[in-house]
Amino acid sequence: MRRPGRILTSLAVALVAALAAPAAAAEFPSAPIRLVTWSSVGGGGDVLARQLAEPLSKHARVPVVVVNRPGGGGATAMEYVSSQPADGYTLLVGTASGVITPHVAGSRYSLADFKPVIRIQTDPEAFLVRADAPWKTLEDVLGAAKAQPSEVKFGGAFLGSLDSLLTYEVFRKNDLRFSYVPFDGGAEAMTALLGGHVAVLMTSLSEVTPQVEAGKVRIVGIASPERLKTYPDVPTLKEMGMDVVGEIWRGLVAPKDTPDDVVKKLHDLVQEAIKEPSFVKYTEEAKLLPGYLPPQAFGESIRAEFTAYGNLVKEMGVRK
Amino acid sequence: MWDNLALGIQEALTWQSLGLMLLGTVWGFIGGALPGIQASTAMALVLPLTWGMPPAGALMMLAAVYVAAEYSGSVPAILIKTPGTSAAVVTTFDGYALQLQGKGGKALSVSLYGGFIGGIIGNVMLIALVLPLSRVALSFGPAEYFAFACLGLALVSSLGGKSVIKGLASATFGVMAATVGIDPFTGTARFTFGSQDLTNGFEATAVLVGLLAVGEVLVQARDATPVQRFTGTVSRALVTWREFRPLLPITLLTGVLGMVIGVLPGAGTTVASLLAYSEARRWSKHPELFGKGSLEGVAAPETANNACVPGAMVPLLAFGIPGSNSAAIMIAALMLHGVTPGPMLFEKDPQVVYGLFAGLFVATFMMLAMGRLCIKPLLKIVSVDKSILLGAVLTLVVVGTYSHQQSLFEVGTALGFGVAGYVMSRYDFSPAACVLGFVLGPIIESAFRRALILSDGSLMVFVTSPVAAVLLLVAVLTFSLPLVRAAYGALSRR
Amino acid sequence: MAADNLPPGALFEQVGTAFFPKLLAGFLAVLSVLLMASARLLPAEANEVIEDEPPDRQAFYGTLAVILLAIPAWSVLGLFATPLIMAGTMVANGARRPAQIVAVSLAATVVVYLVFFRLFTVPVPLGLFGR
Repeated sequence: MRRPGRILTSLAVALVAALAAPAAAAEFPSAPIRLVTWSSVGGGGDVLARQLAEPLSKHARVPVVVVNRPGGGGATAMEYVSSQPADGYTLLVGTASGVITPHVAGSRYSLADFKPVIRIQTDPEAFLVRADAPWKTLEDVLGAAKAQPSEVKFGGAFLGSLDSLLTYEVFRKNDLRFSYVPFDGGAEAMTALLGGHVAVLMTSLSEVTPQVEAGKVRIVGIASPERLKTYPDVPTLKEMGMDVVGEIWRGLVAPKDTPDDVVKKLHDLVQEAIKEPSFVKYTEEAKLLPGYLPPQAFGESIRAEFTAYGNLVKEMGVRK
Repeated sequence: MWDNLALGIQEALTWQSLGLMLLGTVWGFIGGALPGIQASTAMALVLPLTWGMPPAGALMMLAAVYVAAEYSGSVPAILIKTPGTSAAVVTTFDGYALQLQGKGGKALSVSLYGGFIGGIIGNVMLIALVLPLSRVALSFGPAEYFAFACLGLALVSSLGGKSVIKGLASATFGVMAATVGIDPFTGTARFTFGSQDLTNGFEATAVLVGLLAVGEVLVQARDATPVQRFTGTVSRALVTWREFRPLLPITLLTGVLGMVIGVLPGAGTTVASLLAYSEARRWSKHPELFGKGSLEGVAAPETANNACVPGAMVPLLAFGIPGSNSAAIMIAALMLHGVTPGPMLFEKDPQVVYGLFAGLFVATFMMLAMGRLCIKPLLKIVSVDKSILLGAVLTLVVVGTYSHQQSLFEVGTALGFGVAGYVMSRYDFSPAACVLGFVLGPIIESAFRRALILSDGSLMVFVTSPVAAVLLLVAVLTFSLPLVRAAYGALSRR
Repeated sequence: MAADNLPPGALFEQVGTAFFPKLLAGFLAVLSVLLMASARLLPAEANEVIEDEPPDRQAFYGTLAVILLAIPAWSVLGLFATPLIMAGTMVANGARRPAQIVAVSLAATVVVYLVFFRLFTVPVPLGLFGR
């Protein structure tokens, strides 16, 4: 028993076992989990990852690290994560733009190429006007846009963004000639709305809540599937007879070949983590909505959106 | 308000806040001075470290980075002609000329004191005039932005240099380079030749350090003069009161100017320093010294770009809208700490707002102290062996541009534009004008197209808006005068 | 007009994607004509590139080589290319003492590593040594 060879062998066995451990789902997770986001620090996906890291690490009992891989409209991060081992230790924070931008920018990967783990939150898109605008409802706005297309201009983020796609859909469904002022970012668009340079803005709700609370802008229509508890008086586009739904959702996806039992385990851990008070408080303060979906439903919604937005992008003529 | 301000001062004068701001000042100072790291990049790099700090502390630390980086961008601009930030491009003209005359200490101290005065003017205006100034930001629509950026570009062409035409061509080349990438108006890829990397266009910081820092490395390498070029007879003397007193009127003027321009989201420090430089030359008793080592030519842009810092806080505080890339990082910091910036910030989180006000003041004083302490040691940089200096610049360019997005393509952009920058300087084109064109071009194009969508194609918008009309008129005059003068000169000499 | 065939996304804009680049190209053409004209009109000495002294060709081409090789080196070696870039530039620009070159380039690498990759937690590039 004292032969050094024996000791070495057992050490080697232990080492191999330690290295192989991550592969066994029973003991998953036994190494740090990395959450990769294409947001830069402080962006929506990054804040989600950082807020999730602490409660997730508490439940998973391993460190959770946030990795920022900005660039290429998400392409860099998607390429990076899909090149990582499919062992559940590298996850991607996916957002709605991960199913749209690939159509616009023609990148190699889209979120449809990943294995869905869990959808965590959503942030519906909405039409806004200035608080002192003469229109009460979205119908008023659209009527005015029909009567005086040169007076009532719509704006939002770059052409090919969710803002522009939804605006386009609304225009098409109302037989209006599409006109849209693209801005370099949500902030610039909001300045233009506040300054009265554009009349209507489409953007995600969480970004505009401060302006709404301050009484500077009004929401005239929300593109959520049903009315929101936070804005019970604002009708959805669906109620107005336009089947237009669009939300900036965020969730976690894993490399394609990640084993199902690992995905299940991850899903359960994250589901517990997002019930933690600190995470619930963040969701409320950031004016986001809980948008939980299990892997199966999450995957279906990703694929459905991927096709739908792909068609819209093509029809709108963005890119070619 | 006074109560809140007292609260803010209390918040800023705790040991914790002071410590954070000191750290921020040190890093901002280093970051701003490193080629390849703009103020906003320096802030982005410390942002993850603020996780877990109280929001006001995090914001004060970032403010300190911002303030210090805006000053220290002028240090390499003066010492080795490689501006650390795009706002310091204009400072190279006279700052480097002064350094070649052995007056580097004077240039650095003028830049420091000017920056300090600019910062103080800006902070006072910020606290007193947030709301009226915020209306200025809103009144600028696409037509006004177009006119404003055109004025900036016209100023670039008037900067002089050996040949006006070559200066214009350089700026146009810069504007052209900025059109590469996906056109946000139609989603069409322009000049990308099917390359995935090119779809996002060239990164502005990479282009800046490429054209100016890498280009200058090649110029210096080719120059056989061993070390003298950088040292000469260096005088350690700083600017005296007698020399600085005549600069006071121009620093006051450009301080106010810089603050107001800083309020306009997007236009920022680059145009502010350009405009300040040209105003200084216009009011100067010795306009002929500009470009040849005028102290006014250093004071004006440096005062203006430090005054821009509080200016950029106006839209941030009034609407929760970033007025610059750096302000965007501060918004990110607030979001990270669960504070939603916006019009309600004054009521909901006054300690954050007034803490920031007080923090900006403290940071400005820290910048002054730090800068004053560092001037003499910094002057030694120029007597470092040329081979080490050039190696250090190249190394920092590679690592600095890489650290921005971990993109090799970005490093390649810097190096590629470096070679282009060398060729330009070799044939008397102006890499500095090219950088400014690159920064202003996209503003001009998108504001123009946006304005035309809004007006349904009518060019009248640029005339019916009084602000736009006046700015465009000034731009046309600024632009055409040097051309006419050059043509006249050429013909009369014949 | 074949406007019906155009995608709706491009219809609302009067000035399209190509307008600005075309304008710039036109402007550059005008400038080059002006430049040629001024070369003809101005006295010859105004156009000459004045050389103060003979250029240091070795330093120039050496530095240029470092610049051109930096990307391949960085993608193969990652962070380990840093001392090579530093040392290469130094040698090209006349540094001759091996001890100094080694010491300075290693010191530069350590500083860069500590500041960027430890303090600011930029992911360390390892080139082919990484995954």
